[in-house]
Amino acid sequence: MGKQKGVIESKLKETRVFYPSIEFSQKANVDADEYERLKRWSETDWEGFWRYFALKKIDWFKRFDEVFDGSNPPFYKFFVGGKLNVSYNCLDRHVRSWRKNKAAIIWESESGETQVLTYQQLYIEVNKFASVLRTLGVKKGDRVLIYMPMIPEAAIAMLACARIGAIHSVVFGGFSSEALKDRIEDAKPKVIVTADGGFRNGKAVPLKSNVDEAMERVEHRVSYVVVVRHIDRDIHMKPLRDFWYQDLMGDPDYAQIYCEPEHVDSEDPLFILYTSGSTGKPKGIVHSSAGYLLWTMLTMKWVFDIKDEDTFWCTADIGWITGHSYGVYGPLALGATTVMYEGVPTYPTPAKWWELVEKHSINILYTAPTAIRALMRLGNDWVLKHDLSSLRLLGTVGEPINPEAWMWYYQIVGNEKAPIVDTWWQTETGGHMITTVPGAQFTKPGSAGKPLPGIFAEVVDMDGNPINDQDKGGLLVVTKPWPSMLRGVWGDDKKYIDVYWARFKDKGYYFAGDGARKDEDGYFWIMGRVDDVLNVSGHRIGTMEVESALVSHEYVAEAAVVGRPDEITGEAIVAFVVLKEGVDKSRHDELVRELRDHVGREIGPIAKPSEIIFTDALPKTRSGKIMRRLLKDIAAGRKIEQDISTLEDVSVLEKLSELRDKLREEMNKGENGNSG
Amino acid sequence: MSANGMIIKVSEEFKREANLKYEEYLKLSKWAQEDFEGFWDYFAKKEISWFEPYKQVLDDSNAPFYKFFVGGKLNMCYNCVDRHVTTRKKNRAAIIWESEQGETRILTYRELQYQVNKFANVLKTLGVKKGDVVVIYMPMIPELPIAMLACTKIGAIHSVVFAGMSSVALRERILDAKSSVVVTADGGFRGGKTIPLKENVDKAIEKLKFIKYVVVVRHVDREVPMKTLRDFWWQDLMSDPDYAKPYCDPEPMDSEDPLFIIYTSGSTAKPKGVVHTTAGYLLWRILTARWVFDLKEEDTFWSTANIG
Repeated sequence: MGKQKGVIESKLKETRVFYPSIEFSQKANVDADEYERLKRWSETDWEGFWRYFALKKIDWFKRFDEVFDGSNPPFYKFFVGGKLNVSYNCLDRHVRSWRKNKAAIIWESESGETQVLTYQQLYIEVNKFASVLRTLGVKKGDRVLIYMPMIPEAAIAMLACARIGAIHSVVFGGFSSEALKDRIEDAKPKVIVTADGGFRNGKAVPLKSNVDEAMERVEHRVSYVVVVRHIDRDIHMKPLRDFWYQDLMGDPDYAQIYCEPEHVDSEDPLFILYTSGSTGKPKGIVHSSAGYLLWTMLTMKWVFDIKDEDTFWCTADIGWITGHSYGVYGPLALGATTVMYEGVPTYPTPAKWWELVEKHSINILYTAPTAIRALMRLGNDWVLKHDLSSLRLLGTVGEPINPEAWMWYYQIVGNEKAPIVDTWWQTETGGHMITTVPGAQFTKPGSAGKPLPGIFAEVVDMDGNPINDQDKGGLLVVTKPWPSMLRGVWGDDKKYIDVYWARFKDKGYYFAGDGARKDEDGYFWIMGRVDDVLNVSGHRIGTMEVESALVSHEYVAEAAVVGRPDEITGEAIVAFVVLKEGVDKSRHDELVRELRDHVGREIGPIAKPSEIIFTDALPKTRSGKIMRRLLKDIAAGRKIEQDISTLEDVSVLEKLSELRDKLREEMNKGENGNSG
Repeated sequence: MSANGMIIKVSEEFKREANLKYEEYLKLSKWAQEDFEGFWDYFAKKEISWFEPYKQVLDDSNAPFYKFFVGGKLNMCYNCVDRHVTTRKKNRAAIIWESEQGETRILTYRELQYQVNKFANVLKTLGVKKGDVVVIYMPMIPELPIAMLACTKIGAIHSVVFAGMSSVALRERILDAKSSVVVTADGGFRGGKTIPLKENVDKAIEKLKFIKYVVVVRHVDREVPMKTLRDFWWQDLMSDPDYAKPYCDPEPMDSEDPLFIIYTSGSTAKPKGVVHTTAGYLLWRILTARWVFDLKEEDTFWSTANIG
C-alpha cells in the first residue's frame, strides 16, 4: 500500500489502564466471557443475533417477517413488517408487573422540590395526554413539537406522541425563538407543547413568549399550542390557539384514562431530532420505532449494567439525543428508575449534583466532559462533602474526555471504585457505538474502547482502506448498518446521502465525521472532528490530543485548539485556554511559555501552539460541545458570518473577538517597535 | 345458599394465585397446634431481619407477662425501610399520599429512608433517647409515618393520638406518657375544613413543665401561635444540615422492648395505654398481610383507617 491519504498523526501517549473490580465483574450483566460470546455471535450470525434480541426485548403486536432489508441502500430497514408501540413497551407491560408502583421518574428542581411518578401514574398521565392530542386532531405520522423545560410533562408528551404514532420533535428549551422558528418551518408540526417557562440558575426562563415570536415569523400554521403551567407567570394566551395543559388534562371528555396504543410499523418514525449543529445548519435526524427502541434497551443493559435496584441519572436535557435515549426511552423500556433534574449543576451551590446523588442514592451517573471539567474547576471540597458511595458506574458522552478530567471523575467522584464508560456515539447513531462494557473490559483514560457487539466500526484513510498503524489516525466509519441508525434527514434524502454516505459510496460505509485511531488493543481514540484536524507543516494533528495535553497542565481547566492559516507552516495552532480558579493571570507571558513547553514535552514541538489566548469561557453549543468553527474564524481574524443559532452564550464570542483584536494590536505595536 | 345465610365462594383464579392456598392453610393450622414453638420460630427467622438471634421463642415463666423471641435484637425501622433500600424495592412507592383536593405525593422506600434518617437525627438533637416517649398528634400526611419510623429507628416509643381527639383527651395522654417532645402540624384538612391541631396542643400542654419541644409541620399554611424556645417548624429543623443528617444507625432493640403505646378508644371506660413490643408485633403484621390481605409485590394496598 502506498502513502495513505487522510492520515492523522498521533503523538500523545496515554498508557494508564484500569480494570473493574472483581466484585463489579462478577455481578455485571455482561462479563468478559459473555462479551466474547456476543461479539462472536454478531460476527458469525448477524441476522440471528438481532432477531434473538428483537424478539426477546420487545413486546410485538405482530412479529416482523424479516430482520433486515438492505435492498435500497442507504435506506436500510430493520425488523420489516413488525408492529409495535414504543409507549406500550415503556409503560403498559410494566404496570402489569411488580414495577407498577416503582418510581419511573424522580424529578427534582433547583430548589429541592421533588416529584415522583410511578409507572402506574406515568401510564395514566401518558394515556390522558395521548387522548388530549387525539382530541386536538393529531394523527399517526403528524409532528408534534415539544419545547419544554426539564419537567416530567416533557417525557409525558414524548410518550403520548409515541402512543398515538405521532412523531415528536423535541427542541431544547434553551434555544432561542430563531432556532425554534427554523425547526417549526422544517418539521411543520400540527401541535406545539410548551410551558409558561422553566427555571435555570435560579431564574425563570420564558418559553411561551419564544414560541409566540417564532410563530409570528413562520408561514406554517400550527393548529394548537398546549402550555404547561409551571413557573406560574402571566403570559399571553392567544384565544382559540393556546390552551393550558392543566385545563385539558382536567377535562374528562378529552383526557381519557385509557388510550388504545397505535400499532405502528417497525420502521415508522418515532421522532425527529435536530443535531446541535457544532458543524453547520441543523439537520432533522429521523429515528425509527423498533430498531431505536431495541438498541437503547440493549445498551442500557450492557453498557450501563442497569439492574432493578438501580437509580439511574443521565444529566442530559431531553432536548438532546442523550436525553431521548438514556433519559427517557432506554430506562423506561427496561422498567428502570430515571432521575430528571431541572437546573444547572452549580445552583444553588456547586454541590447540587452531589446532593442529588446522596439524596436519591444514585448508582449510575451519565454526564458530559464539559460538566465534569466545570465541576473539576470548582475544586474537590464540594464533592467530598457528600456521601457518594452509592455510585457504582460513571459514564461520559458528548465529546472525547481529556484524560485529566477522566482521572478526576474516576478518583474524586467515583472514589476509584466505579468504572467509567466513555461512550462514543451521535444523534445519528441513536445509541452507544464505541465504548467499553464495564464488567468485561479494562478502560484507558481518553479512549472510548471498542465497537459494541453488533456494531462494526473501522478507522480508514480517504480511500476507505483500514489504517493499521496504531500511531496513525484516520476517518471513523461504521461498516455495517445497525438497528438504531438514523433513517434519514427529515424531508431531505439528498442531504442524508451527501453527508453520511457519499464519501464511501462504493464501500457502503457510514461516515461519522470524526477522526480516530486504533491502538494495539483495538481500542479507539477519538481525535476530534475531521473538519477540525490541524495541518502543521504537513503533519495532520487531531485537536483532541493537543487539548488533552493542555488540560493535563495543573493550571488549565479547559482548552480548545484550532488552525489559523500560516504562510510558512500551512496552519499554525491557536489555543484558547480557560485557566483554573486562582491562577495568577498577571504572569501572562510566563504562562504562555510554560504551556507551550508543556505541550512540547507531552506531544512534541510540532504541536506547540503558536498563539495562546486566555479566556473566561469557550463558545459552546447548548449541549456543551466546543464550537471550534467559530474559534477558527476568530483565530483567523475573520468576521463571523456563520450560523450561530445553536451557540449557548453569544457574549462569549464577542468577548473573545475583542480579546483577540487587542492582542493583535499589541503584537503589531511590538513588532513595529522592534523594527523601528 | 345455606340455611344460615350466604356463602360467597372464592374464584378459582383467586385461589390459584393466593399466597396461602387451602392445603397450605390446613398445614399451618395443624403445625401451630402440634408444634407451637416450632411454628413461631420458623416464621420469626424467615420474616424478620435480626441483628442478634433470640435464644428462646416463648418465656411464660411469669404469666401473664409473656415474652416472645427472648434475647433477640432487631430494629423496626430497619425491617420496614432500610432492608428494602438495598433491593429492587428501593425505588418502589412506599407511600402514595393524596389530599381531598387531589394533590398527590409519593415517597419511595429510599426517599422514606432519607426523611426518616433526617427526622431521627432531629429527634436526637432534641434530646430524645432510647425508651423516651414521643407524642404524635398529626393529620394523615406522610410526615406522620416518618415521625413514627424515626422514633423506632432510635428506639423511642411513639404514642400517636388521633387528630380528631380534643385537647382534653390529648392532655390526658400526654400526662400518662410524660413525653418531652410532641410532634404536630399547623392543622389538617377534613371535609374541606381546617382543624386547628396546634392550638389543641397548646391547650393540652399548658403548664406542663416536662414538655421541652413541640415540632410543628407546616401543612395547611395558616398563622399559628409559635411559642419561642419551645415550638419549632418541622421544615426548619429538617433543612438544617447540622441537625437533619441524612444517615442514622438503627438502634438495636430487644424483642420485648416497647415499640409504641396506643390508647384504646375508651368506649368502655377511661382509655388504657396499650403497650406493644417490637419483634412479636412486627412478625404478626407481616404474616397477616401475607395471609389475610394476600399482599403481593404488584399490589397497591389501601387501609382507609386513620393512623391514630
